[in-house]
Amino acid sequence: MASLHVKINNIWQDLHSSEGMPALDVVRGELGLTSTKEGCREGDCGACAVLVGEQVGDMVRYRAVPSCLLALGELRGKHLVTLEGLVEGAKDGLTPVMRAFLDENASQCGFCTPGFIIALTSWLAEPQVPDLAGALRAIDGNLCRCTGYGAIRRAAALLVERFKDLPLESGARLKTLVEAQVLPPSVLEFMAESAGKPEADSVSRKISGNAPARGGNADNAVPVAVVGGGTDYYVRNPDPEEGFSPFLTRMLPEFGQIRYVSDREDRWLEVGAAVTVRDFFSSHVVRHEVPGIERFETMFASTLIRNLATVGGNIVNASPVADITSMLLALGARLVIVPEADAGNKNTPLRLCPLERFFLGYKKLNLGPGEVLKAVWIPVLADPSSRKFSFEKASKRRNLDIAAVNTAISFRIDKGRFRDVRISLGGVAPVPLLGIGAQEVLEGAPCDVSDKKSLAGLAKNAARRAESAISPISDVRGSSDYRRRMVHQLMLAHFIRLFETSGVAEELFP
Amino acid sequence: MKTEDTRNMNKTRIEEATPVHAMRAAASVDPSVIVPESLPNVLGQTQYIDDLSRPSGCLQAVVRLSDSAHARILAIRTEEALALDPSVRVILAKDVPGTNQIGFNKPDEPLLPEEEWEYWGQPIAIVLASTRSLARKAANLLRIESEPLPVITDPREAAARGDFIFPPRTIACGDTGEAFSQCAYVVEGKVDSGGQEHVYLETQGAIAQVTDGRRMHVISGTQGPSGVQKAVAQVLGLPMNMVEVEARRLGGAFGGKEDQAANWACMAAVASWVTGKPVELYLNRKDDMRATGKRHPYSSDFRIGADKNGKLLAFEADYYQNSGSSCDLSPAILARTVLHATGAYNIPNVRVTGYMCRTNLPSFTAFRGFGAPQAFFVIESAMDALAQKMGVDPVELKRRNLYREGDQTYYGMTLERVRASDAVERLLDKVDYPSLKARIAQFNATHRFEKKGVGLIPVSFGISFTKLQMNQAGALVHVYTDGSVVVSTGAIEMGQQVARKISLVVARALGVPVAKVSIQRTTTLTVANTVPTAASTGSDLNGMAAKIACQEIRGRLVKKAAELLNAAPGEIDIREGRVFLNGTQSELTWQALIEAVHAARQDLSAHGFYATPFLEYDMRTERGRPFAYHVYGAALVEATVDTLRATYSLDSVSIVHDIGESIDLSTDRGQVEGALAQGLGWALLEDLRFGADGRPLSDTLSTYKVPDVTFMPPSIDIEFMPPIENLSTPYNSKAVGEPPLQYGIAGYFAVLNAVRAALDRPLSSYNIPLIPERVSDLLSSKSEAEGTEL
Repeated sequence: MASLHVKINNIWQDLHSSEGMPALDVVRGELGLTSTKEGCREGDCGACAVLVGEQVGDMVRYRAVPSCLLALGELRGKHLVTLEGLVEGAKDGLTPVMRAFLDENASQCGFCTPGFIIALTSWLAEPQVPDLAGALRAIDGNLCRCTGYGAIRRAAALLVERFKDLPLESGARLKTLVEAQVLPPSVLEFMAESAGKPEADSVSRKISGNAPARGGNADNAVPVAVVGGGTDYYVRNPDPEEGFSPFLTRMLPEFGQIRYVSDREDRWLEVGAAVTVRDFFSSHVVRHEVPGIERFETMFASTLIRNLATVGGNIVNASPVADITSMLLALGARLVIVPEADAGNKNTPLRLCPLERFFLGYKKLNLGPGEVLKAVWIPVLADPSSRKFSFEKASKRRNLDIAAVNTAISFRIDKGRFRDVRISLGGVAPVPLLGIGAQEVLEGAPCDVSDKKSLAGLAKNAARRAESAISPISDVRGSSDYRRRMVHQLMLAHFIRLFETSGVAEELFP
Repeated sequence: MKTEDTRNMNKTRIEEATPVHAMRAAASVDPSVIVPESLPNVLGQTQYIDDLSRPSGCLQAVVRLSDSAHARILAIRTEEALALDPSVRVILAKDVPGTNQIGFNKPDEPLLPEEEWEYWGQPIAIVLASTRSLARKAANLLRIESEPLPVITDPREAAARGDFIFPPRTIACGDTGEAFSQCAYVVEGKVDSGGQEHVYLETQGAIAQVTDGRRMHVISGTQGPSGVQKAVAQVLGLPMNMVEVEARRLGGAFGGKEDQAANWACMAAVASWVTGKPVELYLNRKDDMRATGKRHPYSSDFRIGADKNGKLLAFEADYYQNSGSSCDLSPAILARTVLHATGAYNIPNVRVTGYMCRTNLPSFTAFRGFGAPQAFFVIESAMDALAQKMGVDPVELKRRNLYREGDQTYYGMTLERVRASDAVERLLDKVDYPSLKARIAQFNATHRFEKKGVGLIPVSFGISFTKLQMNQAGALVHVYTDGSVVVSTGAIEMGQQVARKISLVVARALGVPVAKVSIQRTTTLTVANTVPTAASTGSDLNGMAAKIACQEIRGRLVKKAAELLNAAPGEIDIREGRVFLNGTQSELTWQALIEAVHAARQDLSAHGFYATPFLEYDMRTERGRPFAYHVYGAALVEATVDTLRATYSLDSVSIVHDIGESIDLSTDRGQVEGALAQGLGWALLEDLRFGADGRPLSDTLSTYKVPDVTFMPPSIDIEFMPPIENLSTPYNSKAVGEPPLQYGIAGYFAVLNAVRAALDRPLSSYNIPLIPERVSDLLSSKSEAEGTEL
């Protein structure tokens, strides 16, 4: 097996562990970088966060990800930074983020501290104007059990104050951060090493032509795992067999694009299966086609997970309550499925599958042996601004929690009527549902924003239909009654959100 | 003595009740206050158990857990596991060389089960291999044959069968029967509170190494090294002097590593003894969440009565503590429950009984608050129900009944320096309660889907271990010839920053800059027979012991300095590493003084010992003075409920809290904020679930949610009350670990009151945690019947 060439802090190293090993084990074990902690091994605590630098287009980008869910192979050609590396250039031995933690006494037992420092360093490295809300969002996947977050907030506030004038251009920002000793000089080295190279070494990942077939439901196929971000895969398989070398979709550039495509007369927005959830919500074209979708970003997991999880992974994991799946169902997405053996070939024949026909049963997919999900196609509207879209989710904790139920709705208003209505519902059946009676209530119905009575009537009707069409199970995330009730309430919430100014709320709840 | 102390404590003197944010600035200006303690933390250099370099030949251990709640063991087949790899070893009950028992309060907890297991997740076997991954795979290959036995998970069901850990414990005072007949208002009800998983970020573990073929050295992630030493000695059949236990900084503990760290240390020690090799046992999160105890769930009944003016006359409660499968610390935890039954209120007639109910769940254990939060929730629920019945604001009812100076508690302790009322009045002033109420009424009248509510809780929390003999501590202080100081005490640093506090105490007591003081790990060789770092007493007990040791050394230093400066000892003072003669700095340096003492062949080391004075308690009459003092405070939480989605957010928390004279303000603030977060998590979010068959349903961090940064309210305003004399602690400080946890209960009532505002009808529901699903239940018509049962 070819070794993995990775820049670990300030030095390029050849790693010999297999590509499918969780990076955490190699970082702590083989590399001995024990600042990176194992807290939960399922991406729920952030203690194992590391900073990963990679070339994206013509720039270098650093993002924090949970190393427990990161396939080692993902690091090929990239720059891995841990706390041991962060301090390399710091003259007084501390970076400003560390100094802020010390000044505010924000590290008590200290076990979670490295993860917080990585997450906040990553936040500073991102081209945005630092504010407290952004800083807190950056650490919404980090748990601390000692401080109650008060001192951590105060440390973040210090950083906001100190770094409010960072350049917004990515390269200049990284340089400024190296000068300020937030990032180590190895970041500049990595930028220089990456300049002019084709997009990282990632392209060199060859898909072996005679890879054994795999399939979602083929009993006799030898499974060759396909791993996207790994954020679901490694939760289920925390301890893979030695030599585990999955097909890593993120290593194929073809899987990572967002672009427009045409199929006969229809136009689609293609979102590669390996596009991260973070990049999906940040994409200007996605935001253009689905106005307002970015409002729902933080309802999906945490920043650390969004930096790693992929759109395709969220679908193929086949959770009945997957948030991206729920949104894409409402958007009328189709899946682009290709043979794995030819996955990297641009001329590979495609199989198209409407997303709602992809789920055959609980965790059972319409995916044959040797097939792999390459991309998602979202229908392009002639006038994207006519699309109304809303997403709602019921969970115990607002952030980084799996929903009891979720639902998305998409429609457009054409000549005063509801058109192309699609309503998804997750968490109420073994598979994510679409339709469930509610969308038929709306399709073609008059949509007059000045007629709050009519809108409220439709909302009530849709909510009742949705509620009565389902028979959810009870489990640790919620009872059957609760789920049913929430489906009703969240339907109403869609209407109240989308017709905020029409007075529908007053009509529904006089 | 008193004057010297006062002179030395210029740094953290608090003149008035100062808002913390004002004091923080002052604290961070002085560089000597930044103790290098947390420096390795921010650099990622602190070595927790799994970060230590392993001794050569170290085997990794994994425990195989039971996969049902109660069963008889028929056979454990090891062949497949052993065939996986030559390094694999399997250790079963029969391999334990000494006594297979780690229960000390009651011998009901075998290290490994011989005949049956009693909860889902109980360790059945220890599996060793050269790597953790191999050991885990081998553990899964053990074939265990068993026969199911009946499962009980409900404490009331266990009580009905009379299955108790120990007989019930009752404290009674006055005549409640007679008093209830005098009451104008009487209400009764049922209160439930769920368990709580510690979620210390560092899971449990130990590294054990047999040395010289006959001694055992264990590095244990424990709050109580001496307890671990005793347990290891017992399972190995060794005298305690052949076992050394070392405890380093823990990645959080919160009570979870008080008694229950011994299990893992003993398993590693047995494995090392049997194989002759070093063994590391470090649990992964899921095994930790399945196998270890948590905060006890309680189900309780109360009856409370008041006269027509709302003066409380009588209170009765029955607490059904779900103790889990074995004794562990359940009796001590129950003691704290029945000693906090009336919260911060003075009630003349009281009768409370606690039942320790044995169930087939993990043995519930210590968790910050230690039985008190459950009692506080019951009395606060009773006060809420009574206020509903009387049609008065619960805040008014609470104000009327707070403990006052000189009141005698229902267990016969006369209270001194009572600050309950002071705290509540300061809090109500601070939040301008009348206008707050008006603002909320206005908000609720004008908002359709959002309703606001507030909750208030007064706290009076007793400090001392309720088990008298545990109130003792030792400390060892050395001054080295270069003038630097090293300290080892029984206090385990686990994030509560006790090391920071003790280093400040030592610096002050000895008269050196804090930068010269290093707090070192605790081992059973440096300090023996320690009690666990628990019950909020870590800095009180160990700080006093360290101070006593320092005073002994200081006495020698002062004497020598007087000699060298031709002065009387009374004319000498040592502060911040400088020697003063009659208030003027002398030419004698700290360094020169230390060298002079050493040259004179005098001891630069001392061992200090402290036992809390004035404690006495008669278990037979349930009367006495079980606590050195009480910590007082009050909190008000404001919450907004989204009634459409049945969710809520916490808007703000205001706290007035009694820390006495703070040794370190930023530490105390961190303790208040951290305890508040855990209290709010317990009251509102953390949903520990088991199936009726005892299966753990929330055994991962994806199913068990603890507060994150967005859950916590954006505004937390903490005011520390003015200092007060407190003789049983170093420098008039007060314990801070547990009391503020109760403040989370105010969050429960804030959300409940917001739901009430939406319903506009009476509602009484006392069931922790109040997760969104329960909010939805309350808001929906379904719960109407339940909600009005009182």
